[in-house]
Amino acid sequence: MSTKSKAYLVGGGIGSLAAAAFMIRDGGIRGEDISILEALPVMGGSLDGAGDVAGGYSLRGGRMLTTDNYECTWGLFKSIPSLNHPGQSVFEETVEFNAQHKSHARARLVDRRRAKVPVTSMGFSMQDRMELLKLSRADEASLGPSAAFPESTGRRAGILGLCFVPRPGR
Amino acid sequence: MADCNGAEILQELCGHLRFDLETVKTADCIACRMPYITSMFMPRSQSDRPLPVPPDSKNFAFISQFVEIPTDTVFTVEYSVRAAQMAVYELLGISLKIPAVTPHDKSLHTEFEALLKAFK
Repeated sequence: MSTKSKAYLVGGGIGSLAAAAFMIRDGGIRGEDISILEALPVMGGSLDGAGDVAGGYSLRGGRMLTTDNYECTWGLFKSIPSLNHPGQSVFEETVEFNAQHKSHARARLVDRRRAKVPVTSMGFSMQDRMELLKLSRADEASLGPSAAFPESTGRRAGILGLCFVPRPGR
Repeated sequence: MADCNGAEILQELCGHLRFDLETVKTADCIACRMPYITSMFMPRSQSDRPLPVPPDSKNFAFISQFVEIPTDTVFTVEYSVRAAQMAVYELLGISLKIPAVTPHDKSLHTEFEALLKAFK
């Protein structure tokens, strides 16, 4: 491909938006030569964020932009200027946001009496530990096709995003 | 549940958790569905996911959560961004270096902490 190329990206999520940014930043492709095709009226895919004070806010995907092991993401965000804070990059904006808004999770599990369930113990048997150790050492090719683990997929399916927004003046 | 509005879902949840609905009386609960949110954890073979740029592809690439990046982990923003960077750099012949995935799973510190946790 050359800098005269036109690029078409299917879906308006972070993957396409990142690809467009890399094409512009490092590939010399002009922004007007990149088309992002999105079926919904809103861009962002799972990484959307929308709403206002009156109607409340909605973010479909969870955000884990607090970790230090996002090599490519931070590299990209360091070169994207912030929309809201002139002179800052999106990376700096994110770090500042994280410093201002600390996680306030006080319980991971509650029981039927609404009591917090202690989760410091993993409750593993020695066999569990041995299997985990073996798994952590295993090469992916040696594992073969993955099978459905109803318990673990059930836990993932249990991810539930709820956003409580107090209305002003109440 | 798909027919419920946010207020109804919140009420149902409070019922399950035995939480006091009064506490969240002034909350807005906006319902949204993500039916494919667990799809990257479906059973698969190692050969199921294509590389960002499949062999012999000159102008076509795959990005985001369903491509093969051997050392990275799905379900993260990073996976989508890394796949995009790999696809763009390869198709456009960009020789800049893509940062390597930090091998946290091979870190002695991580392994030691996992061992300690396993015995708790």
